[in-house]
Amino acid sequence: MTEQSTIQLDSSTGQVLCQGLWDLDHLIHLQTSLKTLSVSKKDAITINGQAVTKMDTAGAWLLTKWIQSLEQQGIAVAKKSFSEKSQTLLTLVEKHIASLSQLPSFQKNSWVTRIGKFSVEQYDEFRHYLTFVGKLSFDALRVLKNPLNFRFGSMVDIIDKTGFQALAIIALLSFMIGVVIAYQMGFQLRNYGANVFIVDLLGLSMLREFGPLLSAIMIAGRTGSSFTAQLGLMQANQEIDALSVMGVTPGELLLLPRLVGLFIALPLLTLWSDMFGIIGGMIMANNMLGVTWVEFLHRFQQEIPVRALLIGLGKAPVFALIIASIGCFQGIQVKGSSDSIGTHTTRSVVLAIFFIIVVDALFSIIFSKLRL
Amino acid sequence: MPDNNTIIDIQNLSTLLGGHWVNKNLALTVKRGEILGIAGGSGAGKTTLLREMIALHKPDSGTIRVFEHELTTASRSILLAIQRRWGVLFQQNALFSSLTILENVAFPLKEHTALNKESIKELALLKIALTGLPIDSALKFPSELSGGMQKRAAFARAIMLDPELIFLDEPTAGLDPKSAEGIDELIVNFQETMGLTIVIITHDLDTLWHTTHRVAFLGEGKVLCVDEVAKVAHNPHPLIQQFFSGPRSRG
Repeated sequence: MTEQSTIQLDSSTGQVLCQGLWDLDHLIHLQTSLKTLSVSKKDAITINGQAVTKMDTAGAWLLTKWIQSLEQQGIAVAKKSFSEKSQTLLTLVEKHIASLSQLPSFQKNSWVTRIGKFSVEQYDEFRHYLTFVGKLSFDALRVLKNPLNFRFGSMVDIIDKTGFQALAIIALLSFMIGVVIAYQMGFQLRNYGANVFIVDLLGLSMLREFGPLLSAIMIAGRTGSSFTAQLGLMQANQEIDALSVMGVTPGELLLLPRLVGLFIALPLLTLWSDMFGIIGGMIMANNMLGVTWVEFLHRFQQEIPVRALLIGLGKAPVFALIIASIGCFQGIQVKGSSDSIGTHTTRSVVLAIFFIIVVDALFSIIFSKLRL
Repeated sequence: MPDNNTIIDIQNLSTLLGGHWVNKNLALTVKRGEILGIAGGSGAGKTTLLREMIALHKPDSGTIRVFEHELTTASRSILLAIQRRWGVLFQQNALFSSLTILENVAFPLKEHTALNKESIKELALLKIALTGLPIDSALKFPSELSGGMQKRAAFARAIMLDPELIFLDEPTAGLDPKSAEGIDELIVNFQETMGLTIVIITHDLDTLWHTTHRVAFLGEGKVLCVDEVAKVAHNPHPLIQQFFSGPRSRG
């Protein structure tokens, strides 16, 4: 710092001397020196700006604020010898500084208000969701009347993206879950010498619960989020408005293919997941419990009813509808900003997984009442 | 050697993008305290030139000196010092959508100074007021403002650190005539009161006529002509004539 930015009171003349750089970089220094400067009351002072080498809006702001606080104490302030440039800045700042205090402060709501607001928002969102489902059903009925209008191409594309391309990851995860279940249960069964019951336990739990749940949760994370992000970006870019204006209902072109595509893909993925889960368990049974392949498959055929498979597969389409409708709905709800896309994508995955588990629990209750 | 009054000095600038020379041996100087308009048809390399001047894109050859520092070889610390002395208004405003206008405008202050919260807030509000935005818009989010108001907010952010030099990329594009006029006025006012040097990339003829001191016309990968707008408009070069004498011009 070659130049000193200072403000000094010359008590002999009653003048305040401003010197050096009055800019943003030296603002903190100036603020502290202003604090230590004491001007006795009843003085009328003159501020001399002759030695100011540079002034920017930050400097002008500081000086103006100081002058105003002096004037409030009843001290008359005059400015002298400021360069023309500084003078224009000072006038400019003076003109606008009054409006700054008018900023309304943020009203922080009480917790009652916040709960109320939150409830109303949730309720509104639920209502919008119902409207969305209603509209979609209406679109579906229209397409049913003219099946040729259905976009088979997009649907096949969706099946490819959500189903075929997810085969590897689902297979790997199911296989590992199968291994883990067999391992944990195997320990307990071995204690009782009931090794062979691994087949019943693994078969029933995999086919009825783990297969459908695992693939649904995986797909909610993988596909539900991508539906939301895709549709959300289209919504933000007004592409969806453009479609509606051209007389193409977004439901027909974008939503129904996604819904129907996932409706077909998810049960198939569930079957795939069942298979790999059982294979994983079978390997563990063979290595750890000494249940050979032949024994395993023989008992599997005898003990596991087809019903178990069908119940598992029957849940999958319901899960598919949950994932696709929530994913699409959250996408459509996006408003404008990149922030909004992020929020809705998160919401889409969280809500989808939440409802998958809730519905799964409901299914369990219903099936147990029906003694299935 | 360029004298003290030169703030940007570009020599022999060449850029190859996608197998095509966007600019070749381009030379341009910007003087301290002037408003320089950079005009040219679409694809004339205006935006590339801007990106090179603000160190977002490295040219293939040539030198760009800003504040007497060579940009192309500047170290990180020198570049940081230079970046504090300029402000940029992007074409799409580039306001951070998750922050309020006040937070947007205060952002450079928060990052680059150690001022206390109250001072930061007041200085940011002052800049918002200076750009002519109503003060209660400070608490709104960018998406809640109109295009012209967003532009003003982005302007306030660009001048937050009291830069010596600001770059405006298409400041009036997509605005209605009234808002565009307001932005033009703002540009001239700031130049006069704060002694800024302003580089405007634009193809808005009104902005060129009303605000600039000099206009550099880009075409064929170089600067075809640099002069006062009235003189540039009478340059016989066919590209310039096309630009200035269309049915929308009112020279």
